[in-house]
Amino acid sequence: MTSRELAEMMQRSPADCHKALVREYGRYVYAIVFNRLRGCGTKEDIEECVSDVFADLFMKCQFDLSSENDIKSLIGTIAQRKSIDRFRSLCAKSKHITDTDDDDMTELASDFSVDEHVDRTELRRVLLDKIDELGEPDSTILIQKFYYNKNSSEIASYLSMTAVAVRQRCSRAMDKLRAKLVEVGIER
Amino acid sequence: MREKDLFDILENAENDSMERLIDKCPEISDEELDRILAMSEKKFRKQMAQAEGTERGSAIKMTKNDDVSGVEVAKRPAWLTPLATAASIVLIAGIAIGSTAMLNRNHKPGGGGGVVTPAVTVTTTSGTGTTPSSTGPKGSVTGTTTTTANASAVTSLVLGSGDTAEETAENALLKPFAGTWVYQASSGNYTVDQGANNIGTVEIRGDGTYTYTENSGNVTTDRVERTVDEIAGTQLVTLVFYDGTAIKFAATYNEGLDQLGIGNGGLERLVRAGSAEASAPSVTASWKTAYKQVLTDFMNTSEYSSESMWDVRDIDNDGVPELLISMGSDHNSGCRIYYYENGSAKIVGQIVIFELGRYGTFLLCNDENLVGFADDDEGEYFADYYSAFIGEFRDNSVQQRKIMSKFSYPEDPQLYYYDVDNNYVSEEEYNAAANNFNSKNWTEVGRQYTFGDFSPLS
Repeated sequence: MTSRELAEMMQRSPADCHKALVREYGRYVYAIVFNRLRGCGTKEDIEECVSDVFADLFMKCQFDLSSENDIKSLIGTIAQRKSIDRFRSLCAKSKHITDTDDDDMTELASDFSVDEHVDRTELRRVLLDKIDELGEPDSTILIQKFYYNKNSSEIASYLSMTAVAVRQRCSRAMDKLRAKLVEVGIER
Repeated sequence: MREKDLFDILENAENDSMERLIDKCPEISDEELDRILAMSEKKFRKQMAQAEGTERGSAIKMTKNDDVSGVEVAKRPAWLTPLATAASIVLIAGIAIGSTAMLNRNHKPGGGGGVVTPAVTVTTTSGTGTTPSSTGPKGSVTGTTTTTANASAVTSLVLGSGDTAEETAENALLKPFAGTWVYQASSGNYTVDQGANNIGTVEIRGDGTYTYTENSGNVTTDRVERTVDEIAGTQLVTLVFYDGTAIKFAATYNEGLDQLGIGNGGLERLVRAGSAEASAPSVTASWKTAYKQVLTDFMNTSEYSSESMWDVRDIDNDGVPELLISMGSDHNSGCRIYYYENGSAKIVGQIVIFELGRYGTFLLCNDENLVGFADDDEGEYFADYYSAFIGEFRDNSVQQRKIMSKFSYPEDPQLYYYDVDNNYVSEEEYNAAANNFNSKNWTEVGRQYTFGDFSPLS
């Protein structure tokens, strides 16, 4: 969706335009917000933050749309900023205002023997590569199960499989992933 | 390594990693999206209101020559205006009503001037006594009459001499309802016409009064009024039964029937004494009526399809069968199980699985109260696949006893994996479990009757 299409839709019916934005980009915003708040927020916090993003987007559409050509980039930027704000707010509430990257790296170091030159970004890239190497549906099952915290029934419904099959593939895929990570020096 | 710790690394991802995670993000349900949209709209409206407030606040302009122009906008609480308006209306209405009441004091509308006779309860108590029958010139008693009577109590509501023609006309409209009615209440989780108990009688009189006698012995006598509401062009006649100033209950007339419905849910009604519904003995709640209601309700849901079927089987051998609704006939369809308890049908919860079985049926082994199903659909992800489930139906729930599977992947179709109760096992252990499953005396159940054929429940 371009800003021109959006502007035309806004002129016809702002309410319909808002609905269309949420339908089209809801999953995209959710994924970005979830990535930032996964470790510190509840499901309600995440939904609250997603709605903040869209409220800001609606304001942007109301007053200043002409300068933006790529609406997806705009939404991505708003989502990143809002989720960082929310993350800080949640950390402040729980009296845990710390640099998360440092915290996570400490935790990471305690769990894995990682080459000291491999930084967090590289580790993330390697992990995603290895998950992708498992192929479908295993990669989707693992990400949805252990990253998005979905249960087997929900994944089964998404992938049109049975929950039993999802559990079996998940277990087998995790074994394969562990073996692949050991090959590249990532192990307990 | 723990999976959770491993996947925590994916948090705070930069752009390229983020894109990969977005690709694998699960779908968000319409319900969740609607909730998010509603929250967003609410916040958006609030932000818009704040933005407009800021614009108003900046209406005052000051030039560098210290010339001030514009109008200062005073901010007051938003609720002040409606509150002041409401208070004014209440004050004016109070003065108007008070004045009218004062002017009409001791007057009947239309200048009747009659005295209002209140509704009264007259209690007459007689005993034995002597009454002078005649008195002589000096007051001497020349004869006496002795009377003896029993105590009696008469309770009545008498229209006063000041009753208007309008009130009399209203009572005339009540006359068709005069007589004795039986008060019926549903005996379970279904409408009153499917199962009811008679819980009292109501005597409606043509003078605008009624007496409600409950089976418990409580008696209420007060006034009844007839009202007519027009809803969507249809006139609805309702009788309102008062208890003092409060409404005891209201009953709506069902045209053509000797029935007055109470409330919207069809759970209570008045039926005329002597009519078929009232003279019949109270319908006793049963699993049949409860299950029939479940089936009727299911037919009105979006889950119902022409492939849906049903069955009744006594799974736990307690003498009361369970209701099975087969959701369809495709591979992923199972059966929902309902049981009967305390006068109503209840669904068997998601102890192991919400719907039991495959292809709309499951297996029943009545000898051991066991349920189960087998599945051999490898789908697109397995080269070969077989699984079986055994559960026990106990305490109105399905409890897993054994689950087993055997499968191979397309990349190496000859390499089989064996699993029992979610643990990898040897082929021998798996075969032992599979042989145990196959040895049961299974009967396939779930798809015995079509919707519309409720004859087993009549």
